[in-house]
Amino acid sequence: MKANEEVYQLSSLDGLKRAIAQQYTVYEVTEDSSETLHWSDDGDGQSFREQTKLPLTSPKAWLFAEKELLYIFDGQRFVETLPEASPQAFWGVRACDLAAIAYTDQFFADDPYYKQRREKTFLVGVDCIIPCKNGFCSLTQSGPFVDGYCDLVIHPVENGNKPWLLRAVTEKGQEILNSLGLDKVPSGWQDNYLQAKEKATQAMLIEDNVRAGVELIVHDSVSDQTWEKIAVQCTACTGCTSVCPTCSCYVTESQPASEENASATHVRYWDSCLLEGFQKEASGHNPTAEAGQRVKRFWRHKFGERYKSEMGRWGCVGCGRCDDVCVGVIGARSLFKRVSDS
Amino acid sequence: MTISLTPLPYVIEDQYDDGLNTCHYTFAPIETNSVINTVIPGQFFMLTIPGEGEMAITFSSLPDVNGFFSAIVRSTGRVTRSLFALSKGAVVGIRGPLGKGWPLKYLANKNICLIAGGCGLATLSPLMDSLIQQGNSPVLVYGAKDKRSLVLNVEWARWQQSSVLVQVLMDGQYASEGESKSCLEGNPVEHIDRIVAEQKRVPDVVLTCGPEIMMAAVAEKMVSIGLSPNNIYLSLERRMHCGVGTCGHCYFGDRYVCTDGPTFSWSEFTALVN
Repeated sequence: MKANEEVYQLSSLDGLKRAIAQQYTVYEVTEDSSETLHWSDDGDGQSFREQTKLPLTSPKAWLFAEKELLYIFDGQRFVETLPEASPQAFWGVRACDLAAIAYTDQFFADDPYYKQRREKTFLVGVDCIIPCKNGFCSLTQSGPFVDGYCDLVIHPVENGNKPWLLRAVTEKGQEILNSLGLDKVPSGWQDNYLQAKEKATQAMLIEDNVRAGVELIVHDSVSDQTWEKIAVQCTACTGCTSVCPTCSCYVTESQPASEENASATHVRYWDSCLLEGFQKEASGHNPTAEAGQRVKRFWRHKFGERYKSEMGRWGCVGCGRCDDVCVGVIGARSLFKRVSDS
Repeated sequence: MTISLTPLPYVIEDQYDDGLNTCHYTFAPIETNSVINTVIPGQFFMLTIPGEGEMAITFSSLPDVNGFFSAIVRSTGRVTRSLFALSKGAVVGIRGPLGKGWPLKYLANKNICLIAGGCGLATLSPLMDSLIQQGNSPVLVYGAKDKRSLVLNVEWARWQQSSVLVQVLMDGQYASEGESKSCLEGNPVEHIDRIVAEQKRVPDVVLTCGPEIMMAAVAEKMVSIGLSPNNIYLSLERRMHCGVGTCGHCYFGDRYVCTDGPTFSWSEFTALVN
């Protein structure tokens, strides 16, 4: 939040959520019986209570669908099948996931299917005043506070009877706020806000070898032998690429017309660059047959200077989800340490 | 600008065998207002076999005024086999042109040598036509496994009228009886010294397409005889699912072959490999 912005204060978020729900299906983070957090459209609006845990996934699948029908063939013509996206709002998106959406918005800027879903999407960001367990977003300049890539930003205040500060980033966001008749926050809020930001950033544990590992990858200073050693632990389960909020590789597949489908179809699915056959050609030639090449590619795609100069940010937003899911213990933090110690 | 991933409908206008397991296709647009044009030699298109899949194929001739163009396809995998099962008149999908073509602006009035291996001749074919049309007489060296593997036989006969063509066959079986001088044994790289000596000068620009190992050997040889790495160009093949830089499959270093290539200079190539 910046000094010259209109900032409002709220004692409860219920009215805001109701106002958004009038226009959008609202997805928020809910906990299942195994204490895993998911995006769901049947939340109770209280998802901010658990500040220290991230949902298992970002909202990626609602923008870049896991399976998307691209076109059908009716026997004579190919017909584009853009998704019938309905208005959707994401309530309480963390700074890391917003940075990821900023990244994929650029990457899929010309993709009609992504755009169709994205244009119908309303994003409510929330500042993380307490860092999550595996996150290192301050290192990737993508958190812990929201940098504005959303429609509204909610800032939790640690003390006080009006524990929420609120600001609009877009016109869509301002329209929602205007409908609520909110109180502006009294002057002097900035000091507390900046203190909270500093406190959250400092509380994020980023060891020296994590920083050093990132630097080595950025400068492509990790030997092929080290990548091969690390890749021994990659089971190609694709967990990391599935939960990574910026991973966006896909494969396409056609199906002929059948009794169930009158037309032949062409769809795309999420794919993973860590799979052995990802680059394998029909001839059998495979430019990245070695697991080390593929693991290197994954991380150089996240921390390659060319991508950063093109996209304006790293491809890794520091959410740490890959550490949560990696069965081989080579998620981000673990990998940075291994690379640094090699 | 939004990119469409949906192909335009074309029909197989003509097809004939053109080398071992290879078929020469002419594609024609179904709708006159949905035609691919403005193609640069070296660019490619995605060919859709409805219900079967898509594949990246290079233009072996550019679209004519009616939008007809040709391509050769070697039967290699499931989708190419499904194409081979189609007959004249079958509807296919075409999406393109895609990628970066050969660097035409650097080729005007230059002494040019093209070196092809196998089906790699296809992407050099429209360049050959274009250079000849401009009055250039490039030297074309074409390596193949054996006589029956030779592709683009009709085009080859046409080019013979105006250019120096050299065939190099792995088994040394002469492709054209009685023309032993232009039919050599081995692979193209082995004969570069001899070809350059016969031309009495090192080419200004070399463009090559074929197996990656062959292109690398060609480039290294050309550098060793004095060519700048910036004047050697190659065309890469990679698995592709989109052709527009989003599916991720064709990455090469920190580039995508579909949008940053498929043509690269040797200096770009070596920087990306290392």
